[in-house]
Amino acid sequence: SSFSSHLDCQQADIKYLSGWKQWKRTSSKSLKKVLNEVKELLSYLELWRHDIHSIEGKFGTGIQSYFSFLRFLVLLNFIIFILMFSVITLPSIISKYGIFNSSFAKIPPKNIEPHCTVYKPSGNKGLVYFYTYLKDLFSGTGFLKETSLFYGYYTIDTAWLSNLSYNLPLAYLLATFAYLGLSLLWIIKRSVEGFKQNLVRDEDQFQSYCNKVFAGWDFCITDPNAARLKHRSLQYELQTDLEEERLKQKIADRTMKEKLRIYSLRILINIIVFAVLSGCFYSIYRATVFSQENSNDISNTNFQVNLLLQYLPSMVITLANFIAPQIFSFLIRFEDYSPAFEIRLTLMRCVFVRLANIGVLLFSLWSQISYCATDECKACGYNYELYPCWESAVGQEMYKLMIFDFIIILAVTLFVDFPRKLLVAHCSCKPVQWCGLQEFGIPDNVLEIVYGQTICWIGTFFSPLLPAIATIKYFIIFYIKKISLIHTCKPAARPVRASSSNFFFLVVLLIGLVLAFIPLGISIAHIPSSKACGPFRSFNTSWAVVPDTILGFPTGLQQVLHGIASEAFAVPFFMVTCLIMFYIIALAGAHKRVVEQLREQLVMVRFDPLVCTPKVFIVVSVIRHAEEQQFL
Amino acid sequence: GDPPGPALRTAGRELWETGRPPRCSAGQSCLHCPCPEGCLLRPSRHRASLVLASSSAYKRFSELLPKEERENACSARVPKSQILTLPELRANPFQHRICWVFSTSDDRDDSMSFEDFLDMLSVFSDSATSDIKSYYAFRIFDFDDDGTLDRKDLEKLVNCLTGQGEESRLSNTEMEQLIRNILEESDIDKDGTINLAEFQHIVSRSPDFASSFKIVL
Repeated sequence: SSFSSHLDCQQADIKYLSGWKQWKRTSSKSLKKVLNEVKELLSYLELWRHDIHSIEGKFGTGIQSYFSFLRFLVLLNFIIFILMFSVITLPSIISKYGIFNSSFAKIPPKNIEPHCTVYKPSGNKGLVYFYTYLKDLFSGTGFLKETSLFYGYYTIDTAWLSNLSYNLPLAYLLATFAYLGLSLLWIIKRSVEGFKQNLVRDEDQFQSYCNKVFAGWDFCITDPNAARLKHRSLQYELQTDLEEERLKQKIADRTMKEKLRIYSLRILINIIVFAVLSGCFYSIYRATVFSQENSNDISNTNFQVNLLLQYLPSMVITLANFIAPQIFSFLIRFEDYSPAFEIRLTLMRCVFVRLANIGVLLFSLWSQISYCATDECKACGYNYELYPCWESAVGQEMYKLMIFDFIIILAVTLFVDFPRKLLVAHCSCKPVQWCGLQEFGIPDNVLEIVYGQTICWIGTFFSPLLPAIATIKYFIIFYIKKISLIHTCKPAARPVRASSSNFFFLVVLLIGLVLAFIPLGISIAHIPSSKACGPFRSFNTSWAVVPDTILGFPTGLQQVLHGIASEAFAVPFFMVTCLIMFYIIALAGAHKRVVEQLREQLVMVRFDPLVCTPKVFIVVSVIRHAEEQQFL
Repeated sequence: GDPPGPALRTAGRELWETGRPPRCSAGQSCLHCPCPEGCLLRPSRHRASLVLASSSAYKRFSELLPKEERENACSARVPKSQILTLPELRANPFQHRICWVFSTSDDRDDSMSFEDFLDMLSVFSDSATSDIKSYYAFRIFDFDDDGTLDRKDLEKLVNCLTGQGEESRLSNTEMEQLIRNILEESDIDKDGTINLAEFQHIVSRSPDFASSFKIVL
């Protein structure tokens, strides 16, 4: 009949269309499969793959992302160490020991007052007690000061390897820029994936409940522990969302009088926070000044007191880093924000405290270094009597901070976590049981390691082998934290989502990196480099080696470089960049609109039974495919 | 072109109105492609891609049987208690519903044959389209099998998600608030229940559904 032949035609059309679509789909699927297999093969080479997998299975994806972050930092520090070692340390050592027919040149600086260039490193002369070596190891003084660990070792102007000349000052500066740039690019690359997920997730805010309920259970879960975790995390997510909605309703219902009260309370609390911060900064400043003044006094030979004085700034910083977050989390309860915002604001305040503390330490160091009373001192630009090689002094402070940070993490695990677990396990009195085991607090742990990493970034310029110490430190910390997690922590009451955690970690790390740029920029470009040691003796500041090198280029290249650095290039470049940015934003907006329109069409198509023919189903799947392309 | 044939229109309307796909004369329940009797996709059509994978499925299925019955695994039925020992199902809060939905046992004892097992794997595989997945998800979540998700179904669903203990359930007010929100987001004809069409619509806009509604052997 005509009806069945009509249907046959339609079926033939469907077969043709679906054949073409099927081929396209299968080919793209097989490509994806090949890529997945390659990725799987590469993942076998990953460090700690099995450990992190087992942590994910037992403790959830939030904690697993912390350990992945730690692994990322180990790799980053290792790469930075390889960079600094091969570009700076290796040529210096080769030329100093004359291997492969190499030599080095030490050009006495011209136009500099002679008293600035006097440098007698006070090493250990004669017989010393054994504990002096221990003290030197912990505070970077004595025998450690002249090693390649610190800036002062690299007092070479050019290295000669056979007939090739190696411009060490330029290499030193460029390596510094290289490691900063490498860290920035790598972090941005990692955070872009998390950012994309965040954007897509935000789009569906108006449908979050249905998504959580209908698509909430992951049917791939086979482990009963993982299932228990998933139940808990679903319960927590649903309850938090419902609570947020109730709070939003409450906020919308506030009267004017209540609003005034809340805002004035918030202003008061912010003033208190500001006062707490100022107190921290002032105490760090005083501690640093006191430590510098008294440890330079060589007559004080008492071993323990000297060590204590050396570590005084580190101790004050650690104390401030411990007390301030407790105060902040106490105060934020009075400010009456939604729970999610509370967590974020407390975290931001803690991040600021930790990173600003390093800045204050450096600032107080500089105020000591550039304090000039006499004319001779002003001629050098820095206090040449106390700090003939000031970059090494700064390097020593960063070294001490790093060692102390590591000691504190070790000590807290050994002397707080394990005794607490033993106490809870064996003592059954009420207060102890109420206190209970500790939870693995992800934000606190992340801030700890970001703090350490910021120190490493700032310190690498002054102490090129510091990344090696950081690599070893984070390597050991991985195992310490893993053991502490497995043996002394109870499962978290509030499970944390992985995607938002990853993004948060990288944002905090990025803040640390950007904050590390500031002290480094000031040291390199503003403060006069020391004339008695280091590769930048013949230059005014460390940055001055770059203009100097450019002057040695052929005139054509010089003109090009001057042109790039001038306003005539910068302003049009900036405008073109802005135009490109606006274009991309407009493009993204247009794509969003197209996707919305297609979605509307999808809704209409679905609900009209008369329109639901097989051809329309095929069209619908084409639209759906276009949607998927959009989100990729 | 020509208007759709009468059989198709009836089939389409019946699907949207009752929320259940019609059964064709062969007694198969199907979804998309048209055939003259008005039935849509036969499960066997999209199971073709599983022919290669079915050897591992066959192995797993026959492992559930006692040794004597393993040679005729194709015609044997595995009791529900054995099915629930599969690692993929044992931690799943919807294990009972899954057995109920995919079992074609006449005695209603939720025992599954190898055909049922393959049906289940095909629906949960990567190659099943999201329409098939959402149809079967709807049937799994429909605890009272009345063709719609009403308040009681949603309550049971949420309790399955949050866990079995007393302290893991939401309070009554929270449950009311949650169900109100869900119905607000998905109930388009405002009848207080979610039918298949509304469910498929809301699930098609969910970014996590396809990746979470998946079992891999």
